[in-house]
Order: sequence, then C-alpha cells, then structure tokens
Amino acid sequence: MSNERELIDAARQGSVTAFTGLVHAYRSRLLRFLLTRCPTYADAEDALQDTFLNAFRYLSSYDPRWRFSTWLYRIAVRNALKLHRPHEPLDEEPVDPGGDPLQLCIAASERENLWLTARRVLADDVCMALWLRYVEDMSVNDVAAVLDRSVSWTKVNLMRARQTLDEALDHEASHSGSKLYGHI
Amino acid sequence: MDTFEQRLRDDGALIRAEVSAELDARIRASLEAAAAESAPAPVRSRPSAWWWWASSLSGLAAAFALLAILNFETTGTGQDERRVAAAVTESPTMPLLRVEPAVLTAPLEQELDDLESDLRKARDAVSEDLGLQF
Repeated sequence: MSNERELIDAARQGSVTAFTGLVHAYRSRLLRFLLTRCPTYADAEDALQDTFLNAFRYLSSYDPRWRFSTWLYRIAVRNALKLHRPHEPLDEEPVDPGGDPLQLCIAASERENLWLTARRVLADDVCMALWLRYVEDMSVNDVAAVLDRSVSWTKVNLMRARQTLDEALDHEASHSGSKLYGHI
Repeated sequence: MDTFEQRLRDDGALIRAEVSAELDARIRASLEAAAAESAPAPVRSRPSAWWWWASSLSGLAAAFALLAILNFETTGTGQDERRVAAAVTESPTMPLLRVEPAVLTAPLEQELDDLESDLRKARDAVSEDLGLQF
C-alpha cells in the first residue's frame, strides 16, 4: 500500500512511469469488471483506456482519504455507463459479432457462470454492487461511494440481489430437473 | 464467508481478462500525450526590486517632461490662433459662394431617392422569395 502511495505521489508530479505502475496493478481487475458492463470487448478496452487517462488527468483531485481503487472504480463505472446503450440490453443481443464478450472470457465450466445469471436477472447498478462487494472485496461504504449511492441503498440491494439470484438458481435447477425427468 | 459468496468470487475469477500488448501500448501512449499536454510552462524569472524602482522613476520623469511640453505648447498655440484669425478676417481674396441652397442639397436628395428605390427593390425581391407581403 505504501508503494501505491509513492506511485500516486510521483504520478501527481507528472511521472508517467509511476502511473504506469498503477496501471499494471489494476488493469486486469478493471478490464474484468468492465467486461461485465460493456456490450463488446472493444468497448471494454476503450473504457479501460479512458479510465486510466481520466485518472491520470484528474489525479490532483484524488482524495487520499479514499482507497485509490475506490476512486478508480468510480471513474470506470462512469465510463462504462457512457458506453452502455439502454435500447440495446447487454443480456439479450450482444453487439459484438464475435459473441457476448463476457461469455467468451469465461472459462469452460459444467454449469453457467453465476455472473451471467446475475447480469440477466439483476439491474445494472445492483449487479455492479454485487461484483464490487464480493469479487473486489470492497466494503459496503466503498461500494456506495463507487456507485454514488447511499449506504442503506447498497445494503438493501445487496441483500435483495442475493435473494433474486437464489430464486433464479432454484428456478433454473428445477427447470433443468424437469427437463431431465422428461427425457427419462 | 458462505458458499454463495464463495461461488460469486470463484465465478468472477473464472472470467479471463488479459490486457493485450497493443492495448497496453495504447494506454501508455495516451498517458504520455496527456503528460505532454499538461507539462508546466517554463517559469519566468521575477524582476528584481531595482527594476521596479527604475521603471517607476523613468515613468515619473516621462510624465514631468510631457507636462512641461504641454505647458510650453499651450502658450505658443494661443498666439498662433490669434494670428490665423486676423489673417482670415483681413483676407481680401475670400471667394463668395453665390449658389441657392437647393443646388447644394440636390445631389443629396438624389442620393436619398436612389437609396429608397434600392430599398423598395430589395423589399420586393425578399417578398417574392418568401412569398410574404410586408
């Protein structure tokens, strides 16, 4: 963490090399997060580039009382929202001709990845809250700060998201079970 | 951590996201461009105190010199004006202008008529273009 603080201080003085150190620390995590939010892989890459560029430009406005990751994700969320087109839902018709970027990046597994289900059944900001809380391991306060929501909104929606996901999984399990039963 | 949270975490880890070398180069290039844009301008050295005093004193000297010149010219100009006025009144060759006022103003009236005519033509043209009547 102290290393991160040194890199931030040096980057504030205009050092691209120091900021590149921060880029290397966060680029994969941020790209994974953006892949769940953007309609195409290229959009996720563009959003990642814009996120780092904006962070570098406005680094002087970063308040060290916040975690740097919280500030960075806040910028990433804004960039992802800029790219998100409401009339083209992510879960219905992926725009990428190569297929859904999230689907393409998920390692082969026997069951459906939980994040595909989450993206299908949850609202965008709730899905983001869930990701930040459980994958990025952020505190509820940090999640609220990233999403520009109240702490109570975040707590309530995280709880509801779990319930909704549980119900969706139960429904899918019973559906696949009945199909199997039908085959027998 | 319960099994649900663990599953969310594990499934998140199954999403492979690798930043390509090309994207890495793009990010680096955009950062360097931004750094070049925001490079601070070269700092100008502050003029020293003697410079302030020198400029103030030379300004004062210039102001006094200007006042002196103006005072000198004021006295001279009064004499000149009186001399010119006397010369004008005493001049025997002053030509008399024996023309009617109408002759003098005729070209101006003609010019006014021409302008009004141009305005009428312009208004008609605009009315035709727009299909409106003023």
